Parts: sequence; structure tokens; C-alpha cells
Amino acid sequence: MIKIANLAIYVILATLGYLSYQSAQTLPEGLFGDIGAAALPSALGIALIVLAALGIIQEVQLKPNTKQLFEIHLRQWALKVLLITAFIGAWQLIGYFFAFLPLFLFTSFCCFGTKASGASLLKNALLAGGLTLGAYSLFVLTLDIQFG
Amino acid sequence: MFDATMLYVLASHLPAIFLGLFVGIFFGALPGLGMIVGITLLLPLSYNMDAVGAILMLLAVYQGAEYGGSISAIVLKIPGTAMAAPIMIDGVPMAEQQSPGKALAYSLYGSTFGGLFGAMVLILFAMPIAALALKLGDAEIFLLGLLGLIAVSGLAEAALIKSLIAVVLGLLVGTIGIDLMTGLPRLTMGLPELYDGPNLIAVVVGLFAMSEVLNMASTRMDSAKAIDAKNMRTNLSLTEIKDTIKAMITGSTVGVATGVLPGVGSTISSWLAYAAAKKLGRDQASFGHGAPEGIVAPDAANNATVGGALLPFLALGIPGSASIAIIAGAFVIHGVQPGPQLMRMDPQFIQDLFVGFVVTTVCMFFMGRFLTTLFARALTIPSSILAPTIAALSLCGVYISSSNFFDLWLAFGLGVATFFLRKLGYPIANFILALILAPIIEKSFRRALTISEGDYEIFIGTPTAFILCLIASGLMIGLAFKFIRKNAASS
Repeated sequence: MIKIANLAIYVILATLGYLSYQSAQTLPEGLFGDIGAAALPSALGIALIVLAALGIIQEVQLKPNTKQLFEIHLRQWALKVLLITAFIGAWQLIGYFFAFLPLFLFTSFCCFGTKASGASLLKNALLAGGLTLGAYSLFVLTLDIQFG
Repeated sequence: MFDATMLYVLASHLPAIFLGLFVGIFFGALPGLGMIVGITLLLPLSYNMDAVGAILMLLAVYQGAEYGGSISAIVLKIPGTAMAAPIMIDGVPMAEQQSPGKALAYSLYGSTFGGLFGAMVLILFAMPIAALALKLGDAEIFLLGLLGLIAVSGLAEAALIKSLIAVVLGLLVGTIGIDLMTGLPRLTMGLPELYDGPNLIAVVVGLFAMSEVLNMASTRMDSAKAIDAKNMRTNLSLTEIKDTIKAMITGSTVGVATGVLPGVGSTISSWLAYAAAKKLGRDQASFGHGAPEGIVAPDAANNATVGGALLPFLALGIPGSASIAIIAGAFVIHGVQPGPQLMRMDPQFIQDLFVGFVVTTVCMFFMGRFLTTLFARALTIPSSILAPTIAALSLCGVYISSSNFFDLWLAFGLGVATFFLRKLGYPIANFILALILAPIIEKSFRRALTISEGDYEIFIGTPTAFILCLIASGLMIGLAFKFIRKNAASS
């Protein structure tokens, strides 16, 4: 698993290096001794490709690594990614940050905390509400920042 | 040195210092989070503050986290930060034989002594070094920056290729935006949001806070740690302090010396300090069985590292560690360019910073004395509560910095990418250091070449440049040998 992930990352990095190099070629050359705006991104693009290639060679020579990328909870991780995506998306599309914040916190506390019971739900709701109130007091009332 | 204006300035910054210390000790105490997440979370708040207050707040997080790491090392037997690991060797036996409070007291006194020692070295040497640095040209500044990057790449615990990739990626991201010498946009993909370069706060939040949140989510989250928060009084008698002074001086000296070197940092310094204190100790056999010197020396080293790390940063403008690189971000946000020119042009700013730094250390002592029990209790907060709270606060911080949803997605995207890169052993500290150093290195390199009309001899033209070039070449050859040797051993 780790070996495949390493190889995949090296391929992505080499592609990134190539794209950076290509993108830098559109910039004009420097004048009066200056190496120009393209020089550093081009050099770094090439360096990235070379390092990724070295990494691939090294990885192929190594014995397979039996270590797992996700040692315990892939599902929990994916749920967290989904929740954060939903939170930012809802905030951007609908607005009302301080309406979505307690919802995000409450859902997260319930999803990742101890098994649901009446008491734990109440505790999570109070905690989410309290943290939202704290954030509102700090950011809006004290620092005068508008969240939309 | 002190006048009414300075006292007023200091008093007005005390709330920021206390906030920074609270967050620093809290995040330092929580295993796995550490100072960088604390600094990252407070960095956006610094937008609404003046430069001195903002920087003191972030330095307070740095100082506080160095002490906070010892709390979990002694109470939980899990070091809150990597540099707190040697403190466990004697801290845990002392906590068991006497009381956790006694071990924490030695830790607090060591931290305070180290912090003050580091501050004194900073105050004494920053100005002379900056005066010397004023004589350096663009070629030397470029070589110094390059040296820092090479040292960081070579000293990282990660595999050399991954370490170098992290540096190259950081430099590449650092080139995104309008080119300062030609005014042309580079690698922006046509996105106007990237014309000023990627938002530093979004990048830092993504790299350190969001990736940590996702890391917490990839492991079991519902476990709360049980602690016994009794006997937490952090008291020491005068005799107990006197008996450990030698170890404190040893630890502080090691801490400052290693802090100055780029990429070395507190982790190595605390182990070195422990070894030095043991070697110079009167009763070497007691080490490992609750020797007070075994606690104070690494703790003093940890906090002295802060002053040491600030020395090249303030005097030369070159950060040597990830934490200092993020604090450099606060300088950038407030339009302050650290380096010899700052020392010369704005001595009042530097004076406020130095005095504020000393005050921060003293405040840390009092906060540690009275709130250690509270911080020990904070260790029981389960990660199922911490992770979403950090995620929400991080996103708030990014939004405060730019009011732009692009930056929120950027932070989140970087968080996901960094999560995978961290799992695969890429050193993220190298990335952020290279990102901060990229404009310094590129600007000085190109300016040097423009001055010399394209003649590369400028990089060996002066004795200083020649020596720096030799050191850089030596380090690169050393790195190449390290790579070949490691590769031969593994295959």
C-alpha cells in the first residue's frame, strides 16, 4: 500500500514539475544580466522531475512495505473530509456562517465521539452552542469581523 | 532602557502575551498537536493587532509550547512535543517517587531559566551580528539562504529524496505570483487570487492545522485519557534551585547554540542538553531515576532554543526553523522585513520586541505556577472534540485573513494533500521554510547577477561569499554521500 502510494505521489510530482516547467517557458527572458522570471520555476520543475525519477528508482529497488496508509479508520477519515467539504460549501453557497458552525460541530462531535445517548447528545449540543457563542463573541463582537 | 512609553507599550501587549502563552502551553501539552498548530491558529488573529503585539503573541505560543510539552511527558508519560521526550527519562520517575508537581516545578524553572538565557543572548548578540550583516551583499544573502535550505534538507529525519522534494516544492510554491523584477504573473494558472502568491495563512493552516485534523480523524478519536491531576503544586526551594543551576546553564548554552543553527531545532538540543548535563553532573548514577538535572537541562535547552533561533532571523532575516518561518509570516503580514536594515531603521521596534520577549518568559513562569493543574486537566479532552474545533477555528482564521472562499478551499485542499505527504514521510517543515525563503533567495540571486551583469564570479568574489560557497559545496557533497551510502545499505 505504502509502495503504491509512494509511486503514485512521485508520478504526480513529476507531472507537477513538467507543468511548472511548461508554464514558465511562456515568460520572457531576463535583461541586463538578470536570469529572468522563468529561470527559477524552470529549474525547480526540472529538479522536481529528477527527484521524482530518483524516488521511483529507489522505491522500485526497495522491498514492499507492509505498513498501511490508514492504520485504523478510513471511513472515519472520509466522513471528516465530507463534513468539512459540506461545511465550506454550505457557507459559500448559502452564507450564515454562525448557523452552520454549530451544526458542523454538533454533527462532528456526534459522529466521532462516544456512542450516542440522550446525555451525550445534550452534552454535544451544549458544547457546539457554547463554542459557537465563544467564536461569535471573539470574532464579531470583539474583533468586529463579518463572516457573511 | 525602560521608560513610561515602553511600560505602556508592554502593558498594552500583555493580553496578547497571555493569550499566546495559554494557547502555547495548551497545544504544547496536547500530544500530537504542538506549537506549530498553536501558532497557526493564532496567526490570523494577528491581522487585527499591531506588529509588536502580534509577534509577541506568536513568540509566546512558541515559548509556552516548549514548557507545555513537558506537562504531558510528566503527567501522561507521553511527550506533548518531540523535544519533551528526554524530560520523561527523569520526569516520570520523579513524579512517581515524589510528586508530578515537583517534576513539573523543575521543568518550569528550567524552561524559565532557558527562556531568559536565550533572551539575554539575543539582546547581547543581535545588534553586533546585524551590524556585520549590513556589510553583506546580495551574493552573501543568497548563499546564507541556500545554506539554510541545504542544512535543513540534510538534517531532516526523512529520506533525503523526500526531504529535497519538500524543499523544491516549497520553493516552487514560493515563486507563484507576480515576479517582483519583471511584474509578470508566474504559475498563477490565470487565477487573480494567486497574483500576490498563495495566501500564507491558508497555506500554513492547510499544512499544519487541517492536515493534523485529518490525521486525528484517521485514528481512533473517541478515547479520552485519564489523568491524576493531584499534587500539582509547582514549588521549589532555594536550595533545590541552587543545586540545578549548573545543569540549567549547561542546557541553556546547548539550546542557544543549536537554536542558531538552521534545521537543528529543539528536538536535538534537548537530547544534547540531557547528555551534557549527565556528563557534567555530580551524581551520574541518579540520571534516569528522577535526577532534577535530567529535567531542568533539556527544558532549559528547549526554551533557550527560541532565543537562539530568533538570532539569525532578526539579525540576518533568514528563518532557520518551521516555527520561526511561520512567525516570519506575521512580519510579512505587517509589512516588517526582518534583518539588519530593521535593526538600523527601527531600533524602537526591536527594543520593544526584546523587552516583550523577556516579559513573555516571566509571564510563562507565573502562568505555569498557577495554571499547570488546568493544563494537565486539558489532557483529558478527547480528540473527537478537539479535531472539529480546530478545523472550525482554522477555517475562521483563513476567512479573517482574506474574506475569500478560494483560500478556504486552498487550505482544505492543501490539508488533504499534506495528510498523504505526511503519512508518506515528507517533512512539511522543509516545505514551509523553503516557501518563506524562496523570495529572499531568488531576489538576492537575481539582484547579484544584475549587479555583476551576469557574471557568476560574484558568488565567490568576496572572502565571505567564498567561505559560504565552500561550506555550501561541502554540505552538498556530504548530502550526496549520505544518499549513496543509504541507498547502498538499503539495496
